[in-house]
Amino acid sequence: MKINKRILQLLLAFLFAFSIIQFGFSGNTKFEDLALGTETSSYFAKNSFNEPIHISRIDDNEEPKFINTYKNSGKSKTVLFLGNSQTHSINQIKKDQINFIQIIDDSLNSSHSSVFCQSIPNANLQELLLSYLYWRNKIHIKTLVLPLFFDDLREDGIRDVFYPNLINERFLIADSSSFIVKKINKNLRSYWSQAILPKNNLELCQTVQERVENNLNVYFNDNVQSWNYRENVRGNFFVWLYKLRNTVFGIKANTVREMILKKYSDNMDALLFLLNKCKKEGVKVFIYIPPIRSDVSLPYHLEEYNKLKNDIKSICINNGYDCYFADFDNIIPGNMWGYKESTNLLDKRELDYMHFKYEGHQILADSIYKRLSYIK
Amino acid sequence: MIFNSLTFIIFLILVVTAYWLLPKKYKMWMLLFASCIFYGFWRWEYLSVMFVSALTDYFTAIQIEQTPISNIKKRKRLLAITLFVNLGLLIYFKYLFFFTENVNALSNILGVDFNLPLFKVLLPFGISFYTFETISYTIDVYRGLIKAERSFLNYGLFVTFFPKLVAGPIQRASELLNQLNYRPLFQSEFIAEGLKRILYGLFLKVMLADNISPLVDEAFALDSNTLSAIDVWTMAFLFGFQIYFDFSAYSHIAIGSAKLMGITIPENFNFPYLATSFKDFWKRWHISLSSWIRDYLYLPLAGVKVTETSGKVGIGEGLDKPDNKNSKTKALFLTWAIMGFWHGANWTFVIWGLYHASFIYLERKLKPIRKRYKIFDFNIVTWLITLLFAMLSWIPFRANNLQETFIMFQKILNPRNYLFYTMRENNYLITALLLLIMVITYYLNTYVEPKLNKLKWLSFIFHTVKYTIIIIFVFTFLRPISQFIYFQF
Repeated sequence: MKINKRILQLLLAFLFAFSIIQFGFSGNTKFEDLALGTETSSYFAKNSFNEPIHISRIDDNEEPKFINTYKNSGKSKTVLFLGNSQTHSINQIKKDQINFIQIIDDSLNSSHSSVFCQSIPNANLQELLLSYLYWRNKIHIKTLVLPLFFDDLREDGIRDVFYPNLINERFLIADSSSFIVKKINKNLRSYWSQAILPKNNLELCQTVQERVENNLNVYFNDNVQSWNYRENVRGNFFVWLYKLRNTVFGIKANTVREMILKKYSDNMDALLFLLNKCKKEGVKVFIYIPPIRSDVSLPYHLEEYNKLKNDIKSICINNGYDCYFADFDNIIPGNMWGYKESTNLLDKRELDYMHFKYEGHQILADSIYKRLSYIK
Repeated sequence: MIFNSLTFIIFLILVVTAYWLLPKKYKMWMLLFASCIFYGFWRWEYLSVMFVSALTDYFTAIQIEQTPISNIKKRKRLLAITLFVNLGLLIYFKYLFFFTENVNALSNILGVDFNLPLFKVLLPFGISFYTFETISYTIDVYRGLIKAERSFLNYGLFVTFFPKLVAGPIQRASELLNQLNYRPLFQSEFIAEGLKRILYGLFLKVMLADNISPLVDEAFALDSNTLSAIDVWTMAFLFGFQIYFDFSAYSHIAIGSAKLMGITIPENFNFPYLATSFKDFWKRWHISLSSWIRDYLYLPLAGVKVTETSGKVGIGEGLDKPDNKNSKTKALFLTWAIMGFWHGANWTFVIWGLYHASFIYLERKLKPIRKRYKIFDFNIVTWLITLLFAMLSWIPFRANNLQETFIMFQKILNPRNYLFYTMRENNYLITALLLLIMVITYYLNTYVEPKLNKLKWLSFIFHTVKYTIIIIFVFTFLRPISQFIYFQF
């Protein structure tokens, strides 16, 4: 039988495509690790019973274990840390090294306090606000610890990948009068149509299409291996695009990033909303300017960086919030920082401004612990 | 059913398999049934609206044909029934809320204590498309251009045929009914061509349109007062690309899905952003709608008798036909205002339509100048001018309201607004990249591929690699994140 040449072409293309996905992306790389590269590793803290106290995504896999740890802890005071990849990353990690969250939890072990943390790569303040509002329904929070990174204030919006449970539960922020809450809720709603709902939530599907699509996705997730690699392929593709852009425009880790005014102000609005909520709910807030490499010049315009620090300090001090502020930007010496996999396609590695070595985690843990003891 | 979903892919495999396996007499019933399922996956209850429109035209068309041409009154009355039912449905579902809202606003301005109740009803998917198809069918019968279809099965399928049901291309009865009557035997070429078009379409939708969409949404959510002129241009280009990829993706998938069953649906796009004038643009953009508007609105309004029916070529081809300058200008502006209004019940769409009409009018008026200066002989100059202004027309189309539209237009007129930018650098970069890719794709398609196709093995390898990449992206990015933009029209 003569096979149509164009059909043969397509058959071969299907075969090659699925082979590439199956064999090229089968590694179980976590989404959080994709952008970190090989020099930095993610580490999520555990308590002394080896139970998870630190997560990145609020999904069906991580959240139940996390809540279980909280229920088992039996401690009356909970310190909730929110952060970005600095919190869950250790540069040049060695065996048995842990991050500053775990060090603080170990230090607080004898007191009545326990530590819980969610850290999301490049988390902007809108995401941190959402996280807080979600966790406060599940955990009795006494103190909230929040690092404010200049880079993250250039970010915007909610990324569904870190909040699948919120999307499945159709979680929305109740107070919808504020602009920033409307924006976050709109963002959350936009993900509803693509959410894979658990069986007990299927009634949220409005059309037959949504129900069938949901069931098919569940089936494919459970039974087709390469279907599960899709996220990995997508992540790799975007990392490659990002590196390509940096290569073409000569952008490196030390290239100066500018403040984006609109995003900055939206994130500041989110911070104010968060602080007001905490004030109403009697939650103490500790905000710190996180460590950054100080042995080389900063990748920011100094006046913009100082503006950020001053703005936050003034918000904390002047508005009657139960808020504490500390500037930790140069507490970690240069030798405790390392390199990271290059963010362009030409170099092998470049300076890492964000993630430090274990020794740096010890110093940061010590600094935060001292303040927490003071805040009580 | 949404094309960019697993549900549709599985549905299509089942339907196409059944279509080629079933005996001839059952094929059409199966297709009609499948088309109803396709539509019912969104809302079953709205199938009834579609059938009201279809049944009205089925019977009135037969009645019109049976009425002697000399009985003009009766023929016109029958035509009026069709228009009343179809336009009535459109007005009820699509425009009633807009009308009541505007009447209330006007009475408030005039200080009259009068408020109509607001009718906000769910817009049935595809209503703007299938009502236009049924209207054109009856008008064509009225004009004597086609015969009324006696088989309700064939006629029902003409209206409901699922690949083009929800967002076109708007099919003429003469083009589809013929194909339904004389169905070809199975050819592997149908499958190859169909699959390729579907893959192209899915790639454009899930890889390009859906990834541009968050950038556009984010940009149009910004306060328009804070934007720079560079931002406004970028937003116009970004949305221009999004809507083009999104809508042409739908058309590719529709054409491909029909092709799998050996049915040909006319092309709807032909590199519209490479047009060298607005008239040219309308020969390349949403060709089936602009051809429809030409035959059933513009030419009648301009007093020209329509003697043939075709969903090809677009309105651009009809623009030169009328001789009377006055009727030509009136028809032009009225047609485009209606065209804009067809897209949505909002004044922003009317502005969009009038914007296009103004540029076509200007092109007519400036024709002598265009001929006098040699610079306009270079396609690149006319292309660039057309591209810039065609892209800018997307601002009223996408803006949230009239006020925002005018603020954004003001921004681009003030030179000081060109001195800063407020969005993330990536947005500008992506826009430039998309423009570059579009030009390269056109060049490859038009000049390189025909030459490559002569070198058998090289062409085979090239296309295999191309489809491998497309399949990887489609498989990886296939998520029903968003509906197609034209679903809302």
